[in-house]
Amino acid sequence: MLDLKIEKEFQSFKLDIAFQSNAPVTALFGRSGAGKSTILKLIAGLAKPDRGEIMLDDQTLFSDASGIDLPAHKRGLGMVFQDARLFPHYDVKTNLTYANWAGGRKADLEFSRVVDLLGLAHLLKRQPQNLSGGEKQRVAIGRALLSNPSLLLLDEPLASLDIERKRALLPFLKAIRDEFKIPMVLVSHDPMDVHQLAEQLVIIDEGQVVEKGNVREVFASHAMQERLGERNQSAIIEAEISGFEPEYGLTVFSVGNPSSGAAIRIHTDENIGEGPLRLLIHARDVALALSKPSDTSLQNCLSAKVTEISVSDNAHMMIACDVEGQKLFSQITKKSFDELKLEPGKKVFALIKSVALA
Amino acid sequence: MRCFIKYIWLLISVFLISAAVTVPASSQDRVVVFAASSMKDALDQISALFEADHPEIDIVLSYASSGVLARQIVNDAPVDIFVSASTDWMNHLVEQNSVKLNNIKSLAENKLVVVAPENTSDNGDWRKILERGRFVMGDPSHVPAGIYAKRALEAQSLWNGASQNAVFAENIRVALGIVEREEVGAGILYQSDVQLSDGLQIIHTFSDTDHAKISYPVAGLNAANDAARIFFNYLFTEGTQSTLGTYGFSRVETETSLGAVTRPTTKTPTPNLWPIIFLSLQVALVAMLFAVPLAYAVAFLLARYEFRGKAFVQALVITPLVMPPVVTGYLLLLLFGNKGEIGQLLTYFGIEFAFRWTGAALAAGLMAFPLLVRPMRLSIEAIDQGIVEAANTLGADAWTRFRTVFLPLSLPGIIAGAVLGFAKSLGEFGATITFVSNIPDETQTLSLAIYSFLQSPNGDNAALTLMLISIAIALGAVLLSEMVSSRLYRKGQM
Repeated sequence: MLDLKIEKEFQSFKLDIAFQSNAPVTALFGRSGAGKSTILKLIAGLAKPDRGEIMLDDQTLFSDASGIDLPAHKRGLGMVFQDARLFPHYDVKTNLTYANWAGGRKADLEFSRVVDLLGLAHLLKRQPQNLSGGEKQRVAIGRALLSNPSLLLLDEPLASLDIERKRALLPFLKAIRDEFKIPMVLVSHDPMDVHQLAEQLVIIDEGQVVEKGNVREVFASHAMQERLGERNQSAIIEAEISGFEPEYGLTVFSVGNPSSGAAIRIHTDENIGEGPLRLLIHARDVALALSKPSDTSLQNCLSAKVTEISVSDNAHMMIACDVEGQKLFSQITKKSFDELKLEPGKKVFALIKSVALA
Repeated sequence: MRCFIKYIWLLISVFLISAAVTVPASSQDRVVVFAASSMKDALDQISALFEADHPEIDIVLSYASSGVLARQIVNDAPVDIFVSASTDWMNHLVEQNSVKLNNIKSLAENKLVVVAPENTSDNGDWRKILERGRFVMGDPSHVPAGIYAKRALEAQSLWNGASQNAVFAENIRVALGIVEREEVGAGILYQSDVQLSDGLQIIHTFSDTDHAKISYPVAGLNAANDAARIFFNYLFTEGTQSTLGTYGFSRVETETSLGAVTRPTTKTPTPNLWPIIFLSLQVALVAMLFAVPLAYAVAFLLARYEFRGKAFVQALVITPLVMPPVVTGYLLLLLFGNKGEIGQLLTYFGIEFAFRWTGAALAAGLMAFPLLVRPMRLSIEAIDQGIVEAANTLGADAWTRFRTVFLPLSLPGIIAGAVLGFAKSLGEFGATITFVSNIPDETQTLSLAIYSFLQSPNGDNAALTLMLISIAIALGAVLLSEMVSSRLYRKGQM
């Protein structure tokens, strides 16, 4: 359980943040310069708050009231920086074990397990400058993991990578979350990272918390949609695997109560895991119909109720719908909006063209 | 506009031509005199008296050690009269055909004396004083007073018992200063040096039979200069001779024969150069051993911290580089000498710097300090703060961060600084000779030895050998550092 309430004044702005989280992954989301990285530094002990308290489980990391300011090397946290920050004068193996031989921390995790999971076995003898960006970042993650952290702080670990490498690295982070069960605080300005990794979401703007809570709820909030921008407005729908159609290579997800029959079918990898999953659905990928279309290639059709209508731009409207108690956005043209005569409370069918799986 | 430029050119030409014309015109009444430093006080007064009588003649006096002046004369220095403190050097000039034998006369003579501070407790036996405690004398390898002193001590069978107590001074004025400040218990000086000094008593006067007669030969070098002849003759007038007497010189009774004099120092065998090289390496290594950690600490402080008075510390660190080395050396002598504040304190702990090789190392380390700090500071400043933060979050405390991040990453700077400093230590001259003098096997490092050999008429070969050796050592050190740092780079340590 991370519990912080801190203030720090800078020349240009004031940071005043309070949130609690015991989620496996808490994401701090916001534009660059919002103060997200500073929050991580304050938690890590690399900077000192003016006022406030930082608690991790039963341990007080900082408290101006009781005069506690645990030095960074005693906080027992792992931090992964955007720019890897490997030690240029040590090889990969010596980098990975740094916390061990220099920091005096005993790793709970087995070295070989971390190396295998991050795919570092063949890199151990290399010098950092001979690694690619993605490899560097994996070493940095491994180094932090092997410092036996009670909390892992990730400062935009994927931001410096191109899309390909990013896609390659994300599964490693998920594996860390699911296998090692080390709680993480992730700073990101990319909604894709956030929705794929985080359960808890805190939106930061100009040093203030704008919105916080469960990732699905915060995602659906105005604050989040505003920050996503017109092309990226999207909703997270929580769903559960209810079956497979192996002859088509499809997985069936039920939305809400399985008896309702609301289902989404998508193509997935075989090993997809269990439990509730999160699906990211862009507003521009959702069409609306007044009756259930029978002769269409679109497989995914959910019955919904219009809850909110807003103007998206001069040609488009943003329609918020309720699907089994969850919020879904649809972006349609003004012309369609007029012809369908949509209004709050109206029953519609949401046709979903594409879904991203967390 | 053109007209204006022409006018300027004309002005410049007129100025240059008139300058060219006036210089030789006035030089006809100029007499350039090269004189041994020990004659300075007396000759200054004599030339002032002469100029009062002969306002049309300008006496230009240049003082240095007889050896330095003689070498300049061999190399055609424009000089009219040479007053030497040594018959040896005058002989050398005769051999080199720079002086004609019949143009030389003895100007004055001097006595060699043993002096002690007036308040010295043991004013009984001068022999015991020399045998028991430190005393100062001229460097017998080239300072005339030192050569005489060595011969006198040998004649008195004291050299073997007392030479290990001797501090060899670069010239006799330095020796006088050392005994006046009571850095040592006694000194062997010229009578003329003691004459004008307060607080010293003569406890023994050597007889001429103990050493060759101490004679000051003077040579006329430019027969064409009438003014020079007038001044030359003036030197032997009754008035001048009595002025010399007031400065402690004695009159010439019998003319010293030149050319036939056997030289006390010409028969020096090829000196053993190894002790000089080892001593230099020892001094430089010990200097670096202490200066490198200290310089790194200062570099670290300057690179990583902001504090009050930082600018002052920065300036202080650079000071040895820009201050005259003589000043640094003299300050060291005042502070770390046996009578200095710090020197006295350190004596309680058995540490002695004055006239010891440790003092040479101290001077070398101090002079090399700015060269050490700069590359170290640059290499520390180049270390990414982000890496330091990463080490911090991985559990490294301040000392561990220093050990595992700062130290290895600034290693190239440390090596570069140490090599520069080492080379500087080997070559340090000014501060060393001022602080700890030029004592063979104790403080005589490479550059001091080269200087000494150049002071004696037949030291050229030894000096040349040492020059080549010092070039080789310096080059070798730099090559070594290049190799080490390029290996570090190849290993990817930077």
